[in-house]
Amino acid sequence: MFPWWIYVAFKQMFPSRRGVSFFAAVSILGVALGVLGLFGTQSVMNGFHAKISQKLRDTTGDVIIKQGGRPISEWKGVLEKLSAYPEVVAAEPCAKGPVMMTFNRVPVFPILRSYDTIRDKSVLPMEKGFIRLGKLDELDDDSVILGQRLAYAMRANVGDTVEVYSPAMLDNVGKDEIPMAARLKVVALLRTDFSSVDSNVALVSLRRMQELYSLGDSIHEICLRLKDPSMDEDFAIRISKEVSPLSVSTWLDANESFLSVIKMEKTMMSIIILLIIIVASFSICISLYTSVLRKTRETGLMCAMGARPWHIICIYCLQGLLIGVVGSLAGLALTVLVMHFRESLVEIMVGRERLAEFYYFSSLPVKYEFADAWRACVFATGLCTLAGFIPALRAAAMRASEAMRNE
Amino acid sequence: MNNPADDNSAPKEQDSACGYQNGGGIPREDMYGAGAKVQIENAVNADKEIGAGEDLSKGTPVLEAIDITKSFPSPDGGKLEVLRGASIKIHRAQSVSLMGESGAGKTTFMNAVSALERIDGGSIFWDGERIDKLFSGAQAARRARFMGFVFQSYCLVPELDALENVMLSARIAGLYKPFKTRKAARDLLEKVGLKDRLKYLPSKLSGGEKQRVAIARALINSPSLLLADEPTGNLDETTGEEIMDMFLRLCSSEGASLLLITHNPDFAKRTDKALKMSKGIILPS
Repeated sequence: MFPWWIYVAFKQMFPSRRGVSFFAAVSILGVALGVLGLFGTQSVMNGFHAKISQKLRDTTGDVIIKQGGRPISEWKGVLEKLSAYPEVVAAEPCAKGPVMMTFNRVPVFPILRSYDTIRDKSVLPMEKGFIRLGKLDELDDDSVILGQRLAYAMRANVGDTVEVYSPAMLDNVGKDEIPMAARLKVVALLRTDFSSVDSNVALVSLRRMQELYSLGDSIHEICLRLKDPSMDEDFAIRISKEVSPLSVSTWLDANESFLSVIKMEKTMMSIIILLIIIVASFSICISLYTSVLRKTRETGLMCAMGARPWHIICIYCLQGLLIGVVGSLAGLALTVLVMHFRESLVEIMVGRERLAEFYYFSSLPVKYEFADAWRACVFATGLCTLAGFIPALRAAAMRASEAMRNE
Repeated sequence: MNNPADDNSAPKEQDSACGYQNGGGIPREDMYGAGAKVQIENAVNADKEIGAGEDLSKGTPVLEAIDITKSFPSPDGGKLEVLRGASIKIHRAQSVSLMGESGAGKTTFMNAVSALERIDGGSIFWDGERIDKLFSGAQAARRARFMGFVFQSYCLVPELDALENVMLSARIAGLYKPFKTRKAARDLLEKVGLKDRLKYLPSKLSGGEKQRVAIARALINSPSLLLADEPTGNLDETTGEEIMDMFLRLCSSEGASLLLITHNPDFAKRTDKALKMSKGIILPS
């Protein structure tokens, strides 16, 4: 048999024959919306973080070996050694840099990246269906694969020919000479669903890239894809001596500032949304306080019937706790529900294209993390209990004799 | 009236970890020693002045209050003496009414004898056990089982139906047993004429019905003493009559003693003993 004060607290929130009191319903809804806001935002931010991380890994590789920004000439031996590691799924020599590309006099300035057509496996996971139109096999020294959004921007399509100018061309032309553009045929379109790649990257063969950048046989970096991406840092440390004097970094190091912005964004949004829960807890506190004043006589009578001050404290704190717990759980359930229909909501509210334009992805990514759910629930429940504590103290301080006089 | 218990220190707020101060829960003869017996008898004699013609063969009084004093701070910084040595003795199954003009100290006296209010001086015994010096927690625990209250405003918990309101008193007293208490509550509500209103919330009951529920609630723990402060004050004359009839009948049938505070001389006449209070003192009847 549970204590009577639990019974009273429960009944005050869920009265007999009325189901749920207006105060309890509104309070629970307020907390649920707060938790929805908090947990929903965190889950979306986690989704962004996870998806961006995955896309960054896909496009840059897990481990990158460089030579302080200078081209690497003796790379073949290193590549062979690194390829021999069982942890390495793919090792690719890579050159990349900005170029000017024109089609029908529309200039764009994408990043041109090499794609090793000779080796079996590239660091770019093409098996994920990145090629949407055309064929990857058709990529040779005279062709190019355009990012899909880049192609749209240029109004170019598969089969068209684009002109490419590299910075090295300007260095190599003499006075009063005009650099000759490299004419490359578009053989496929690349769609990674990562806006910064799809709208800003084009792929050419390694040989063509070396030529465009006057690299000779050199490359800019060696990129590795690992079997277990989570081991990237350990692996980087292991090979750093072997590849010395080349420097080894992970995808995390390469994108540190970008990822920290996303983390910071998550933190800031969480802090702002926490205010919603704090406001909800203020409302609960005020409502409970009003309830204490309204129930002066009942409280006095309970004291006369044998209730102790701590029983009265428990009644009101428990109401806060119940609102917190039920509101938090309802908030979690609401989050899952809203996130389930997120695509339709995004479609209605902002439209997919605008989402892709600003947030890199054409669909809203979501990743639930237990720690976020736990923190949101504990915070909401703690605040609600605290909100109940202040009126509880007021009620407990009431003397039965005084309370009965108030009638 | 001399107070034989004056030698004891005035009741203070509890300071003992176990909840008792000197003498808490000890029969008064044992507490004061053999020498004190004479003083206690004096107190009984003093009581004779109050309750003329009462039968002392009834044994240990259910309630005995001796020379109770109580004052409150007044707005001008002084003291407002509300009780100035009020005494009372109520025996088992005896009904006593207390009348007096407004401000005479009736409600304060009721709060004092029920240990809802700390007293400045005097002593209070419930079934022979000195109560006024107990820790408030111990007082509350004893009060829950020993006393029932009926107030002018019914003080029903609005979220509970009639049956639940009656059972709440048993829950608080720790006497709740799911089937037994429910049956007892049903029986009591039937006795007060609310057989068809068991599941009604207070908001759906009339004033008379609410007071009937409050009476059933006061009786659910089979208390030794019922304290009723103007129980018909909010009711019309006819309903008040009905309620009072039923109340007195039930007190009698349940064997509970009654201290009734009322302004109605007709109701007072129907109790075993009618007392008057004036300026903080209970006058000889």
